[in-house]
Amino acid sequence: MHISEGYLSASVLISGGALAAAGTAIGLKRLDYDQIAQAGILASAFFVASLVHVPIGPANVHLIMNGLLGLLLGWAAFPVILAALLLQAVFFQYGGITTLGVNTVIMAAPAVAVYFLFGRWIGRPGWVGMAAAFCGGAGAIVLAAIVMAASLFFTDEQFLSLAVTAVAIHVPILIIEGVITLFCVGFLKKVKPELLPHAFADKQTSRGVA
Amino acid sequence: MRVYASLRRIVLPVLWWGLLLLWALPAYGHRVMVFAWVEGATIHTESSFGGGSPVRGGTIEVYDDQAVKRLTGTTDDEGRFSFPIDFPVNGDLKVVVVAGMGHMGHWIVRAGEMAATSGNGTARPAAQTESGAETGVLDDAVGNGDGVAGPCLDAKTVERIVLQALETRLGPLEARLAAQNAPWRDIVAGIGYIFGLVGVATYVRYHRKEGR
Repeated sequence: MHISEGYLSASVLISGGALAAAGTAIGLKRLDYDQIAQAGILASAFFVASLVHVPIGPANVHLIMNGLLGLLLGWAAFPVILAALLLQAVFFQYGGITTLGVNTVIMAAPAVAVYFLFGRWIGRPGWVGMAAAFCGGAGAIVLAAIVMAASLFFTDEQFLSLAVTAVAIHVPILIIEGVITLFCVGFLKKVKPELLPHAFADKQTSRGVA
Repeated sequence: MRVYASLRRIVLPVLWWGLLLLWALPAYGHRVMVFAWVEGATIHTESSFGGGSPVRGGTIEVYDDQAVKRLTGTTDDEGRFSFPIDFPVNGDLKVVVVAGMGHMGHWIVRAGEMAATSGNGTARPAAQTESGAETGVLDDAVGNGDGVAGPCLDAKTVERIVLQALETRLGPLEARLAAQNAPWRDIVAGIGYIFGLVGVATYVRYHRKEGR
């Protein structure tokens, strides 16, 4: 999912950077004091997860974990992913400094999307909660593949075929991440339910208290 | 207290699963690398994803020092692609591998390498060195007879030439391998940075809340 340096045109890089900056600003504003430790640990998990590789055909895909991150953090996924991607670029040479903005959007925008799509359901008991967690984890990968295809579209490749290929090669990752997200959310629900995004349920009360 | 509790609670599922998977699978990098070396009038390239799996069917593009594209090619199942230097070379060549899905890497073939080896096929990749390089030097030395070294090379001279050639060729490769083989240090360093960022964020937020 990390687009390398020197691949995209300047306009794509700049718009990606602008979107990432906007998302990061919103995320930092929404990042609650109580969420910071959680954000840090999820950033570490995201940073390390990319080293877990599944070789498929010509390409080579790795875990991303943006779904779990988005489900638990919402908008705060933007600054967290930006920081983790910067470290990945510096330490592992994934992506690059100039493509940081685009890569942040590719992985963080789907994270925020699954938060709004499935976040309200993952706290539900039983089957609904589990399905929502799985869909959140897997859906973030699908969306990330589509956003990536969209950003590559502006260079030279065909959008539709590219998006289909991108999703297809990520199918194993999508299943693995769905399952990981399901287990993590299930575990949190048991031992620390208040860490799940309860913002949908009691947004008013928590705002009122703060 | 609450921060500590949440730290403890999430460490378990998230890092536990992450580390479990990390140990179960080999840790591969996700960058794309291409390595090119000169042999006589041919440039060989080998492309791989960090960690070793070859780039199959990737596109190789070769640019000269004016950034003009000289040729393109496709890597085989082992990630290799070779091409003859059948165009005038005035400077460094840049070999770019495009592996699809926005992945690319490059390697610079220095003008000096091409000049040094154009009449003297000493360079081979690490794997083929033992058998290949020695005979290559001998053959060339015998064939060329470039004024100084005639057909009467003694064993010592041959050894020196081979070692010299190996060193120039393997030096950058070894540096690359060394950089590649230290993922644990990088992981720990990266997580350290994240903890530092958490500290900064906590500090900033704490004061802001107090201020209110």
